[in-house]
Amino acid sequence: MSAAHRWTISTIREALASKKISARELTKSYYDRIASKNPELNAYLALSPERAYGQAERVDAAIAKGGSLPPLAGVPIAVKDVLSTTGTVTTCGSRILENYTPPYDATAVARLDAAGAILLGKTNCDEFAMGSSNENSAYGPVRNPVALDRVPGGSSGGSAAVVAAGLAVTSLGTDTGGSIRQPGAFCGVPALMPTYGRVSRYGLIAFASSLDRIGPFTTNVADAAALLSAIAGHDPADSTSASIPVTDYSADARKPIKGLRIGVADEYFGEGLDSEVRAKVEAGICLLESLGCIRVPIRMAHTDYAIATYYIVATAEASSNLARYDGVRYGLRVHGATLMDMYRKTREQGFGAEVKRRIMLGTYALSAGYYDAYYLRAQKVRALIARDFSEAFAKVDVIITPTTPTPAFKLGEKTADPLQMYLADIYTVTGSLAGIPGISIPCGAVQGSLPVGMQIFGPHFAEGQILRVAAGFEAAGGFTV
Amino acid sequence: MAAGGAFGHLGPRLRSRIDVLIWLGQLVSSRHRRFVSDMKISHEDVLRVAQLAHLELSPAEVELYCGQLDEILNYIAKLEQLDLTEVEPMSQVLPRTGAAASTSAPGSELRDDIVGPCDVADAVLAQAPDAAKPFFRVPKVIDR
Repeated sequence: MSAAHRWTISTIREALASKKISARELTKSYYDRIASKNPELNAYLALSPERAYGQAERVDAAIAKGGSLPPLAGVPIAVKDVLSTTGTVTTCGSRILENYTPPYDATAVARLDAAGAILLGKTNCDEFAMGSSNENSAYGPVRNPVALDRVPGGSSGGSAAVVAAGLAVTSLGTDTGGSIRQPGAFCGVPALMPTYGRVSRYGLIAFASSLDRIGPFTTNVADAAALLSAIAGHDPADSTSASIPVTDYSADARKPIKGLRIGVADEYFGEGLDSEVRAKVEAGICLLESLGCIRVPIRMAHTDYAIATYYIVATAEASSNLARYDGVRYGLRVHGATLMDMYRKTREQGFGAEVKRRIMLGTYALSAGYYDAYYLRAQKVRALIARDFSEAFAKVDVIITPTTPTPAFKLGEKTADPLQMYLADIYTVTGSLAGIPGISIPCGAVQGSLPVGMQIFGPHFAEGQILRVAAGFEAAGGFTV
Repeated sequence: MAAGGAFGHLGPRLRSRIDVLIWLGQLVSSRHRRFVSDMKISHEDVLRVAQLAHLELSPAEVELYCGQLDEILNYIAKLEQLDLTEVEPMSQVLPRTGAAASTSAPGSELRDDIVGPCDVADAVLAQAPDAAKPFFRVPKVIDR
């Protein structure tokens, strides 16, 4: 990766203001790089040059005119293909939406647009964000730019890969059980999942509504803070978005970390954790201690139940959300003699294997006679997992864990065994269920060059606090610990 | 399918599974995983669920999902180990704090029910596989 492609939000701002480069030239340089690198990575599903150059021209005109620029003026971004974009096909990585063009922008996309960002295109992902390797995309897997024979993680694999490969400065992904943090860890880039309700879900095509979140991939922590500032805040179009004030995340991230209490739970360092990954995360925690953070042992008693809980809650919600794909109003229609025939054929041909598997599991868990045994039970365990966190946050400011038990695995390694694939999310689903924010940041590499992710959880709406720890870690060289 | 009982519309294998689950739910202690682990989801169950989900599975898919769902359900059965009698289900994510806690989560106050402009019919119908404004057209539902 040449340094020329390591633009950040602040270096772009400087270069544009001093007229070293125009927004148009910058946009062109990214499209050139995409043309040369994307065929190998398969990280972009669609490009939106008309929209991008239109926005670049507006930014360049504003610069020529003088005066202040919006916070993300001229920043080339990519957006996961589950977020609605006016005029650009939004497939969710599924055949069933192969030709679907939304008539509106998701709120997060509209806010980036208003902040002056340039939307380069839409990124590949597991179908309807269901997967941990990006191998469930109907449009082929993404390759990990760090190691081409490995997965980039999922489901936001494309969004992680484009940032890691310098094919966008930042990107948006979505996280339901780990789909931002896990690919961030696998591709070696910071990846932030905000608190549930912090970012509007309007225009995010739903997978599991009580879990879905939108957040950024960046190359550095300051950019993550800037992106979050741009997309966070209440939205009347999403009744689950919170009206709690948005703090100045960039200022939060600059605060010193000395004296912060970091919780470390044995439950995240047990059986199944790769020994080299463990060593790196331990080294990361030691680094934080050397910076004045105080390590506090905590207990997270229900961690081991999180995957089982998650795969009931998430699939139940998915089976309901995905009922809308019936060939009537949008997307694929496969003709049938009767209406029911049409529904069944459309869904059978339109959905891929993992989506069908999850619809089946969720339908089963919600079906008559099973609701109490599965869904209700899972909701109760979810409460216990959330309680583990609230009790821990009475004693500590943040909690540190590995993001994943192993580094990126090989393409095809887990596709035959869905349960093994689900277990790749073992350290991320807990925070998803509790609704708390979490960030994965790079924490060295193992087996030569495979990135390790360190996850930082914080209390609800304490994004500023986890960004602060992440920035302190980054400034001390933690990304290459 | 045999009739009878609250779950008479389900197959006999399904019913026995429910009986065991109900029995398990009544136990305070939870050292009975092996009973759950011994149970299997049948082809009949898979077909029934596929019907509920409007999926027309191929025989090969029925076979595949039968084994995979069985494995996943056996894994999920670990939740039976927990005593949840005193636990309230969590169906609401946002933390409940402050004065508004009793009625709503922070920021999730209901907005006033005011009709706003919504002139999107053309844009919406433009995405339809088969539209005859202002309708979506589908195969005949009622035969006369």
